[in-house]
Amino acid sequence: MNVFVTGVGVVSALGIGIKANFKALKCHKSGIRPNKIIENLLEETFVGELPLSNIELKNLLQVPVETNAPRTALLGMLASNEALGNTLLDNKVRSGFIGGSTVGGMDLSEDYFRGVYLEGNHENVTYLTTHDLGTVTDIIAKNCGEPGYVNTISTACSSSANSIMLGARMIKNGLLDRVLVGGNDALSRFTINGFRSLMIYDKEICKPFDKNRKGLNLGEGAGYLLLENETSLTQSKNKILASLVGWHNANDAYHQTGTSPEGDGAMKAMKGALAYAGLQSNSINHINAHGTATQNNDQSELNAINRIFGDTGINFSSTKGYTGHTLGASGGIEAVYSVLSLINQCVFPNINWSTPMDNNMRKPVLDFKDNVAITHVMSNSFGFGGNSTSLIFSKS
Amino acid sequence: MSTYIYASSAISTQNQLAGEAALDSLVSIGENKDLIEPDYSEYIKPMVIRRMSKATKMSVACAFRCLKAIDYASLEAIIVGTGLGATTDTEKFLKVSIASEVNMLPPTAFIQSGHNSIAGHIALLLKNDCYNMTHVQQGLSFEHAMLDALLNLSEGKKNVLVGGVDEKNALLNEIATRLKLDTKIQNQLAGGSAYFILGSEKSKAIAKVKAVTIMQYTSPVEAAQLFLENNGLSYSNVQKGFVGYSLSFVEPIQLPLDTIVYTDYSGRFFSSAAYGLHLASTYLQYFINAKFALVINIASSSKMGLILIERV
Repeated sequence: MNVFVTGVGVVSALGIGIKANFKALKCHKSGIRPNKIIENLLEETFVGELPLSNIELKNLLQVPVETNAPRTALLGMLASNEALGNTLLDNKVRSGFIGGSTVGGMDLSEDYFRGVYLEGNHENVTYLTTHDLGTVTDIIAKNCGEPGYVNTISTACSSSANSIMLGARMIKNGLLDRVLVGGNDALSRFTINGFRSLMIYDKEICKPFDKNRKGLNLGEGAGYLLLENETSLTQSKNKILASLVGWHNANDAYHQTGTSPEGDGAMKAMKGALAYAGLQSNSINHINAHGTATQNNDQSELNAINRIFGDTGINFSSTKGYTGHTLGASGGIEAVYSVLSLINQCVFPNINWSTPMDNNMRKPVLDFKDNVAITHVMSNSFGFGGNSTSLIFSKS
Repeated sequence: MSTYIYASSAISTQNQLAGEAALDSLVSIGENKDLIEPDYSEYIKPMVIRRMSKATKMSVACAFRCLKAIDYASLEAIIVGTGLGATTDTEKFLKVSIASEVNMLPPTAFIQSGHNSIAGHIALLLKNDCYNMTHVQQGLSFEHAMLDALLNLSEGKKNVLVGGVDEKNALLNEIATRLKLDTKIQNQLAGGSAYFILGSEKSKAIAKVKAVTIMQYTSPVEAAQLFLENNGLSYSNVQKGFVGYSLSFVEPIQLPLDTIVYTDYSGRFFSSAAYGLHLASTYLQYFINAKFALVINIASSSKMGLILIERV
């Protein structure tokens, strides 16, 4: 049973939809700016923010303004609509929706708790009914045809990579024919303050894989892939965009938040995905790296890449300099970008890079390149809790 | 391929269950919803315990108890289902991040608040680099974790750790009151955890997992009947039903078989079906005349989880 990618949808700081994202990626145009929509931060903060308010998002979606829907759900609805096109997740075939998220309805929860802590006002308590991740996923599922299987994965920054992997495994094992996979996260004060408290938040635009990188910027968005097998394709008549051929989930088992210096988990995830796909490392044409621009991640990811790819040159880039780190959405957004590389036979550059690291001279792709032969793209996602997942997409 | 439960361990408001009197010793959940907890220092270094969330502590203790039963054989997958994760730490960090006027906050609660910090901690303590997954889907979080465990076994993995965990939290009670949830739900809000090691070797088994599913329903009794029929059985083949109700109120269901409402003992929490399965597998272990037990989790007004287990 093959796992085909037949739809992609994305929302990020680069805009709503494939077209807007592709254009910005091609033109080296970062979406990271001082915060505008998210308020009540202690100081101006560089974030990868979609510059539309929740009311504007609801209007775009034609959802009544009074609907109790957190921002994470609204971002997810926009991206899932694009990924699905005219295809429904209904019971004509065995359909599913698997979300990936870390904050869920946190933006509304924060609004409620601000009222409580600062003014003793409890009147917005219903905001909390959409706090949990599963409820956010359900809101999106209802918008997609209410499939029989609806689930949410939460493995920090690898959440949507793992939702993609679970969907692929369910198709491979004959449990589903069609599944929408990926994830979504909105910006929240909770996560911005959290990463600040860990002292890994850059005050300017982040510099993935650069010697002088100072940490990450958070971003928001959603990215989904529609996965189908042959049975589902017969019914949907969708065009095949790419195939998902390899995946592996490993744990770094080193530290709660940090990754091992040599990138053990990352190495195992990449190696396992190659083995599952039956590919040698030299078959990979490009890596969409996790590349968060923290000291720790970029060092250990490059070390892991060295362990797999040896002395050979490998094209790699991180798109976090464009979108910021979108946490639970990042694996989904970057899987969409990986599929775009395959469809358009191009690689997206790693912006804001100027100086190689001291102990690792690898240089990321710095310019947009098209007309390059791209057959296999690897997408990496690594998270707190040691969760490490790699996916491999192939040209169809 | 068949799936078996090798080991089972729970932390709940009930004492550890053993022997034929196991089910008789259950005490209805009343005013006192305190968990009966082990001495966590048996499993975790004191320095580490201090920072761990309650959800993680319970999970680690259950995992170690399960591992003991299989002589600490290595796990090939660690899978957790939780509806809300570490709610206490989430609330704690929310509060400081909203109310604090300073930029530098202590990161501990933020680190612990991640849903996957539970499975991550188990991996870290065991130095286990295998498949590690966290499912978060309201009242069906545990069933989703179980389905993933079955998928891992069909992919050839051995010794899969799977569990469900949620925390009791005073804030949840306050919210339930403010949302004016039914008083029965308010009175039964609780927390707890139950973990299992699953595998495909009968010789190590305490029970066999015959089937796990999530169903849409209009009539829970008819849906469960269909589930049994799909497995070549009817209600008359099942000796006991273990029924649980999740956080949204539904009318009690009347099954045509001898039934225990496990949430009347464990209390209600999103992943309580894990406790239901723990109770059901304990029942099959000690009641030699029983062949099948059915765990029914009424997760919402339209969805239910079903787990059918068999004596080995």
